[in-house]
Amino acid sequence: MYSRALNGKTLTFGVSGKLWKNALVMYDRETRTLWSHLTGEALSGPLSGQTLEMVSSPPRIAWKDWKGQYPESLVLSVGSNEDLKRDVYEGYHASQKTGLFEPGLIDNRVGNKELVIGVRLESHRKAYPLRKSFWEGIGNGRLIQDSIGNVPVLIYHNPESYFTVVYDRRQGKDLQYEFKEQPTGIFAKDSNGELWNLLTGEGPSGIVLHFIPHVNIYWFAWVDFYPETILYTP
Amino acid sequence: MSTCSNRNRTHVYGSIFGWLGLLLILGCSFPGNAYGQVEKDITAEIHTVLPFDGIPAIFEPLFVSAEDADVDPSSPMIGIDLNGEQHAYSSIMLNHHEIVNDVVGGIPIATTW
Repeated sequence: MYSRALNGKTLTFGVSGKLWKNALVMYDRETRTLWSHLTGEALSGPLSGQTLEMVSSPPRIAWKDWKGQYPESLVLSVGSNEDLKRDVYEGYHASQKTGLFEPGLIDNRVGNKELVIGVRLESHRKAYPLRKSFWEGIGNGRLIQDSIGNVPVLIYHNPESYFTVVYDRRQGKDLQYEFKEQPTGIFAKDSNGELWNLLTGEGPSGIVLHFIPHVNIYWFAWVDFYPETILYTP
Repeated sequence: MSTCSNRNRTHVYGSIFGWLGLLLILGCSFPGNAYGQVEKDITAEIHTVLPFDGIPAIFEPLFVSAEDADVDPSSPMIGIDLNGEQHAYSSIMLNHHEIVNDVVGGIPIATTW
């Protein structure tokens, strides 16, 4: 998700019909610059060299959990089109196909069509598996406490809700939170017994954890974009 | 004379095509740093599979309230919370349209999937 504001102007994005590394290439109707939807970078055209600003949002979450947190949320209307209740990529997700074009690189550390959580933080790229057996093996209530570069991070995944989130565990410069468990739903408990809302990042005393943008993406596509990626191992 | 002239012209064209071919081959053989810091040409990696707008993005999204939305409780959604306003998009809708041009909490955003 990106801000459409760039250099004081508002861009409008359409689908270019082109793929870069098997991923969507957008174009803006104002200048017809081509943009990667994965990196937010202008690939070709008058705005080459520019990057769209990312807007923080979790990649996916089950409707009931979103609505539970935000009962006033608006929902994009499907109108009267019943087809829009069916997933056009159902067959693709179920298959071992990696896309229309051969990926530039095959990395066998993870299955090609396995989803991972891909995190870009400063110059670091790190992937966390999304497969169920991996998360079942994570004790501590589906919480991973890790570091990316020098930044202590919290990674949470709820397989029932598809929900993933990555937070900077620091508050201010020095204070680092340690999380002990995830007792209910989307809440985690820290080592002081305080509850944190993992959807909003809100903790005790009005403290809000800093959200780190991330994507849910097939491993083959992630390594094609970022061959230097580190893969998390417990 | 005219024959000769034609032959010369053919010869010149032949040389140009020859040079183009050679440059193309050099270009392909030494990507990246063959001529110092030459930037990788991303446009060569972009494949066209459909015409522009072959998949229709959404430019004027319409919304319903959470109460009125006919969504399965377990459906995966993309949600955004900006300045106290929240919009949710089903991943199925995003698969059909790929991009939603929206404004949430006063911020113009593009939701992509």
